[in-house]
This record gives sequence, C-alpha cells and structure tokens, in this order.
Amino acid sequence: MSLLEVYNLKKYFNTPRGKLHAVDDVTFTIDQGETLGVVGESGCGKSTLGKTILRLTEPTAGKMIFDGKDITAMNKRQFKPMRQDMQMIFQDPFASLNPRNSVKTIISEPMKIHHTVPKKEIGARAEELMDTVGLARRYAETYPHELDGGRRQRIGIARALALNPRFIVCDEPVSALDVSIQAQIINLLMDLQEQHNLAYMFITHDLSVVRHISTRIFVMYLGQVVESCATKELFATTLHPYTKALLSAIPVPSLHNRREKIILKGELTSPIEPKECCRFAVRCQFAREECFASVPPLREISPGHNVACHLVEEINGIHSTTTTAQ
Amino acid sequence: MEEKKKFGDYRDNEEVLRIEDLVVHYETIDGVAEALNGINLTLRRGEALGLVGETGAGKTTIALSIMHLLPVPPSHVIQGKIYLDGKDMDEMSKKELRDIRGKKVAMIFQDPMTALNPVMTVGTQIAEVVRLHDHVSKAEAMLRAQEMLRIVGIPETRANEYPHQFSGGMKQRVIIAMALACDPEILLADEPTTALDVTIQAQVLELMRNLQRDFNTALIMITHDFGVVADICHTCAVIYAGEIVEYGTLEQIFDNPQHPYTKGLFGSLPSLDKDVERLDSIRGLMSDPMDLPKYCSFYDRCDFCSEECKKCNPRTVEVEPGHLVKCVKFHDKEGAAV
Repeated sequence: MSLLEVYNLKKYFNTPRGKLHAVDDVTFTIDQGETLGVVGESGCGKSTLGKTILRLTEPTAGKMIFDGKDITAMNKRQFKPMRQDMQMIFQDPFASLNPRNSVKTIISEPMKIHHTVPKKEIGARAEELMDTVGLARRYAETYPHELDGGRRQRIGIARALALNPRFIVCDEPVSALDVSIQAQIINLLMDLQEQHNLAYMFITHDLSVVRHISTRIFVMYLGQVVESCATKELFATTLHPYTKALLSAIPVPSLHNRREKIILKGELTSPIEPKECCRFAVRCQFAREECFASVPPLREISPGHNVACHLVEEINGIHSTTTTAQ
Repeated sequence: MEEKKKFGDYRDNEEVLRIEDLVVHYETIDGVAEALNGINLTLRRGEALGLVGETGAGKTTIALSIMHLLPVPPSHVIQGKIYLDGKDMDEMSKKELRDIRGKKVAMIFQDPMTALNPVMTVGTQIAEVVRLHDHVSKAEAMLRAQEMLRIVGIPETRANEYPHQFSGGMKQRVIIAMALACDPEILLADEPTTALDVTIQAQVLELMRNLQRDFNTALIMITHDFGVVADICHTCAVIYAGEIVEYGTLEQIFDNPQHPYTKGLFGSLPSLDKDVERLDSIRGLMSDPMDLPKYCSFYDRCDFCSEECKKCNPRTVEVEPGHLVKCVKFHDKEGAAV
C-alpha cells in the first residue's frame, strides 16, 4: 500500500473571468521513503497541488488517501492528528518564518501545538533538531532576520521535522539559495530521508535538482500532468514535446555535450476556462488539428511511463500498441 | 566549435572598458562593508564577459560603479579608476556622465517587474531614452521605439500598451529594447533572466546572444548561473567576497578550473547527464564583508588550505596565457599550467 494515494484531484479557483484550473485531474501515489519530483514552470499548479494535499486549500474534486485513511473530507479536528505525519517546507525562507519569534520558539511551536513531547523536554528536543539540521546551538535565541537564507531554510526544515513526520512536501526549498548553499541543503534533505525513511514530494522548476533527488518525476503543464515516469527513464527517453523543450532550455554549465535548443514559441496560455484541447498545443511544433480537438489522456506508453499527447507515437517513432492508463 | 569562432572575433578589437584596482566600501552604522577589494577588468568591443558569483559577492556593485550610480553615502570609492574608451570617468562632469548612461553604457536590471514605469506606455518609455540622447522629434523617437520592439520580437502595435499588460518575459524584452535603443557600446545585464521561467529564459538568452552579435556590443553578463555563461559569454570572471578569484576564457574556466572556489561551485551543481551520489557542497558560508580576513577570504571554506594561506593575501597569478588565478597555491607556478 502506498503512503499517499491521490485520485483525480482537481482544484479550481473562482476568478472574475471564470474558473481557473490550477490543478486538473491529477492522479499519483507516493511510497514510504520515496521522492516524487513535481516539475513545471510558474503557474503550472505545482505549488497548489502541494498545498491541496496538505489541505491548506480545499480540493474541488478528487480523493486523497494517506496511510489508508481518506483525508479528502476530514474536518479540521479530524485532520489535526494527520498533520503530524504530513509537513511542508516552504520556498521562501524569509516569508515563512515568524520574524518575532526566536529560532528555538519557531522550532518548538509544532510540538507545543500537538503535545507530542512533554513540555519540559520541548527545549531539549528543539536543540536536538538544530543539531540534526546542522544549525549551531548558539543561534537558538537569535531571530530569523539575523540569519542568512541557508540557515533560515535549515530552521524551516527543523520545524518540519519537529513532529517526526512521514511525508514532507518540499515546495522549491532550494530555489532562493546560492548554489554552494543549495548543495548543502540538498545533501541535508537526502541524509534526513535516509535516516527517517521520509517520503518527499519535491516541487521545483529546476530539472537538474529534481533529477538528483527524485526517484520518480512528473511534469506538469497548466494544471495537468503531461509526462510521468521513473527519473532515469525520463532523462533517457523523453517523450512529451513539452518535456523535451523544457530539458533543452536549461542552460548547461559545460562546453561539451551541449543539447540542441528547442526554443518554444509564445508563453503559457491562461489557465482560466481552458479550451477542451491539448493545453500545450498552441506552443507545440508538432501540433495538428486533432490536438486542438480533444484533450489527450494520460496513456501508458511503456511500463510505468505515462504521456499525455495524441501524437506521442508518431513524434518518437513508437509502433507498439498501447493501453490507456487511468 | 562555435565558441572558438566567436573567440577570434573580439580579441583584436579595441578596449572599451578598463577597471583598475577598484575598491568600494559601504559605510554603515554597524561598520564598514568591504564590497569590492581591488577589481581589475578589461572589456573589448564585441566581447561578452560573464561575471559569476554568489549573493553579496559584489557583482552588482561592479555594475553600478561602471554606471556611476552607486549611492553616496553609504558607498565610497576608496581607490581605483574606471576608463571608458580610455577616458577616466572620475574626470567627467555630471552632464557627461548623464550623456553616457543609456547611450554609451546601458543596463538591464534583474527584476523586469519593477524596472518599468507602470503609468507610461512601453513605447513612450523607450522613446524617452531615444529623445534624451539622440535629440530627435517625438514622432521619430516613437518610430525608433516601435522598431526596437520589433527587433526584440514584440509586435509594434503593442507600443501603446502599459507594462501590466505584458508577461514577465515580454517585460524583460521591453527592457532589452530600451537598453539597446541608443545602440550602446557596453551593455550591463544584471541577472536578466533570473526572474524568468526556463523556457522563457531560453527565448531571452537567444535574443540577447543574437543582438549582441549583430550590434557588436560589449556585454557584461552578471549571473550566478554557469549555464547562462556557457550559453552566451566568451570570457568569465568568478567573484568571491569582492575579488576576482579566477578569470579566463570559457574553455579555461569550464574545462580547466584552478581556483578551489570555482571547482567547488562546479561540484555543487547537480548535473543533467551525470549520476552523482552526493553533491560536493562548499562548506560554511561566505565571509562577512564587514569582517574580512587579511589573508585569503576563502580560507575558512577551502579544502586545500594550508598554513601558507594565512601568511598573506594571495596574488593574482597568470597560470597560462589569459588565465588568472588568485590563490596562494599558484604563487610559485607563474606561467605554468597545472
């Protein structure tokens, strides 16, 4: 049984111009100890997906099962104990910490709320957590503004670990950091995963980071999953035209093995009341009439490799018969 | 290779910018932050130089010094000269400097959302630069603005629209159009694509590369991303704590990095092709610019440091033609590549 199962999750927002399809029909599972990478550009719904799973926003439709319990319709009181197992690390280490609380108070807060640790031991546990994430104890009484981005992100990680969770949504945890610090935090997250058998949902726009940390990846475009498979498979046989373009667009810090760039035309279309067609079609170099006629379903092209594209066989020269996933 | 071809183009060109031993301090209530500690740089026409470093390394301070836009106080140029086309910028009058900004030297800022005036149409904003420097009529300036928009790939009909009607990538194009409107000799781009998505970044970088080639502009590309440098630059300077610790051509920096910091940066990058169990991160943090050591500022984080390193501030050594490294290890290896 998977730790987290999500079926046909939808999250629409009401806007003056109509319904904004932030997350549209997303299905996936995450196992204990595994990292699922969610990749996409700004506005593709990856952060909303993370927040919806943690019930920080209410889903419009769909079903979420965590550890065998249906969490979709739980009320606040029912869901509170679940939060001990499901935590989040936020992108912006500046906005996600209360500026008026000391480091120790911030890390202690979840334990005070959930009473997981006797009151007297909270302080000691907080200091232990600081050791775990590599934050010197002398910072216990400092405030977030006195620390740099890397150290602040360590506070956020310590806070997320305070309740011994089993699942953490990491929403762009290293995007705001310098590369040398970024590597430190990625290493820390991977060490913690090994020690505590954590499951991560790692949300990022950076494919090289996600390749390093994830076991499986799915690529999102305008609220929908366009390609999902094991990390190795994705980089070895990229099938969806969007994933190909995304991969080729990354500036490679090397003068050798340079990929040929696929420069996409145009920009993200509006996710408000999207037309019933392939959402990537307007930017796709292969798009044909049929792409504008119907929504391509997510199909299993090879075992474990799902792609949502009408023309995927033709583009990649695949001839085998295929079955429909979902 | 393509790089090689580009390489030959600019090397014989004349020097447009020379920075000599530039030292800039910020004086604050808490003390003096040593932002730049002896920067030496030259830039030739048509050359694209990548300035790579982390937050607080002094990248933006270099750009603002060249523009003479450093706020005084808190900043003070302690020593050093900047020559533009051989002319000492310190000896220029305010009017001369005003004429240079936007005309001879133009700057592209990191955040396209805040660099545009929200209550003016983009066409008017571009035309404003043209009118200021080229003293043409309003109508002519507007025509020029429309032409610039076309060059950066925006339909000229959109000249009458306001910045909020454009997306992030389009706004950055508008800013590039504005920067290039007066055909500058030097373009300073301060993290121009950092705020953009990768597919949009690829569009903007391609545009900048083409324009730089077509206009033969000298470009300083400030970035923290070696990938961007590999895409667009000829030469590269790595900055750490206000000093250039390594300088060379792309081949020298990417294929044969010598300074421990440069090596550390490359080790920190997760790769798209190679499988690495664990990233070689650089330990610790950058030294506080208010409290820099008298010796090598990378000492505390360096895996190769020795007692020797604490004895003096490292000299810049040319380890092979055009490849400069500022590290004690190379003091006795002048001229010999390792």
